[in-house]
Amino acid sequence: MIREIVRAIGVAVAEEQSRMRWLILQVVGAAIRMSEAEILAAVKNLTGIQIEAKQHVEDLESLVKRTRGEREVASQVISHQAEFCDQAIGLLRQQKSTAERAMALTEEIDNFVGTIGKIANAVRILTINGHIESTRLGNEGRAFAVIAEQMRELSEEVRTANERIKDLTTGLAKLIPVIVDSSRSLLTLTERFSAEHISAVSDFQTAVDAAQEGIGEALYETQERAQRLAQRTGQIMTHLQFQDRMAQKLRDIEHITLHTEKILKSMFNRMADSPSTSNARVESRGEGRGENQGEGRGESHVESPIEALGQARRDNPQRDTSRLGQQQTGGSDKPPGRPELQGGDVVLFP
Amino acid sequence: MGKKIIVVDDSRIVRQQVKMALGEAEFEVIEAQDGVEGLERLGQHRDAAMMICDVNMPRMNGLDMIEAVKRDPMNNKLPVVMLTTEGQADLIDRAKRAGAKGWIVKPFKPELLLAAVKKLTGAQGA
Repeated sequence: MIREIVRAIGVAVAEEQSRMRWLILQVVGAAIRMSEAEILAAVKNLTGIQIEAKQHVEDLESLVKRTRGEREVASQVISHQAEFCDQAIGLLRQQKSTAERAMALTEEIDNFVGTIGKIANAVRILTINGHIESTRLGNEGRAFAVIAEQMRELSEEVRTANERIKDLTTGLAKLIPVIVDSSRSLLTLTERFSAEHISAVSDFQTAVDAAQEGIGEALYETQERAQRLAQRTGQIMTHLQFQDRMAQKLRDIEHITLHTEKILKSMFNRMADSPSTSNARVESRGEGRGENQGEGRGESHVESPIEALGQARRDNPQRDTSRLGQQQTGGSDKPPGRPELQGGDVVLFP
Repeated sequence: MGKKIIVVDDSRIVRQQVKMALGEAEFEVIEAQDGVEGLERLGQHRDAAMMICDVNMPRMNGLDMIEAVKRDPMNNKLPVVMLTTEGQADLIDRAKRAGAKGWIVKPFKPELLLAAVKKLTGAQGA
């Protein structure tokens, strides 16, 4: 009687255990698969972002290099322009000075022209006096009258030439101030252009420097972010590996649980096979599920727990590879003095 | 494109992780999800420079696969590295006897995997 109660309890416990095990594995497996897919998608997305960020950094670096090159060229051109402006200003100052000197010379010529005019007037008066004197002398003064006439003609020519020079210097005196004014205006314009140009160039260079600094900072920040992203991706992938390992361990637990269930059933069957309870035999449930479907299916008339485990391995040779070490060594015993390698270890054989 | 590396693992995550680690050094990664598919890929890519394979896989495990690979004299010099969660000495001995060139335990560090691959393939920067 007690034996039958024990057997019934055992069967109930085994069945409940089996149901719970299956339920837990289903839930955990679904959660792992779902989260694996989501995380993998996220990692792919992160990887895409990383690649894009890398490309952006390369583009920015290229842009900075190109900007630096263009700035150098621009600086050279600007330097040449500044030299040209300086030369132009020098020439214009020289021109202005020359024009002012020409103006002074013209005034000097004008003075000389005045002096020559006075001499010509004096000669003309002298000629008139000569005529008066020759008239007073009569025939004896005729020759003197001829000389006086020639002197008058000569003084007339001098006066005419003097008038002409005076006209010319007057014209020149009117032109020179125009040239001086033009030179002064041109000089002012050139100086202003030069100053504005230098200011604009200075502003441009400051802007380029600021832009370069900004790009440099952005570049540094982007690189740092990309590095952090890469670290995060690496961490996620490591977690995924652990998760993968955990899933494998879960499959192993499933095997072990199934084997345990068989052993339990076998034990209870043996108890049932005893003379007092020969009609209370427990049959294998034959409810293989999931990737282990088929395992435990059919009649497993196992004689002992150890044989049950061996039988289960033979029933499922495919997944049994997950415990290759135990197959070879006949259990989890390790060879003495030969420690197992741990996660992250790398061994290259000679 | 760089040298071809055949990665045999039933976990998509691990294949993806290996691909990311080696992709940075411009290796071309060929994927297979078990030993049988790994042998097929090797047949399709005779110019592969190296194989990286898991131990525990459905259909054909990594150790059986490496033995099959090394039975072909053409693959005698092809470096094969095991990438697995297992770390038992007897398994490592078996792989070594079968002709494996290295053993890496998951979870692996990408930089160490890359260094090992570069060293075994003679790639620049090894």
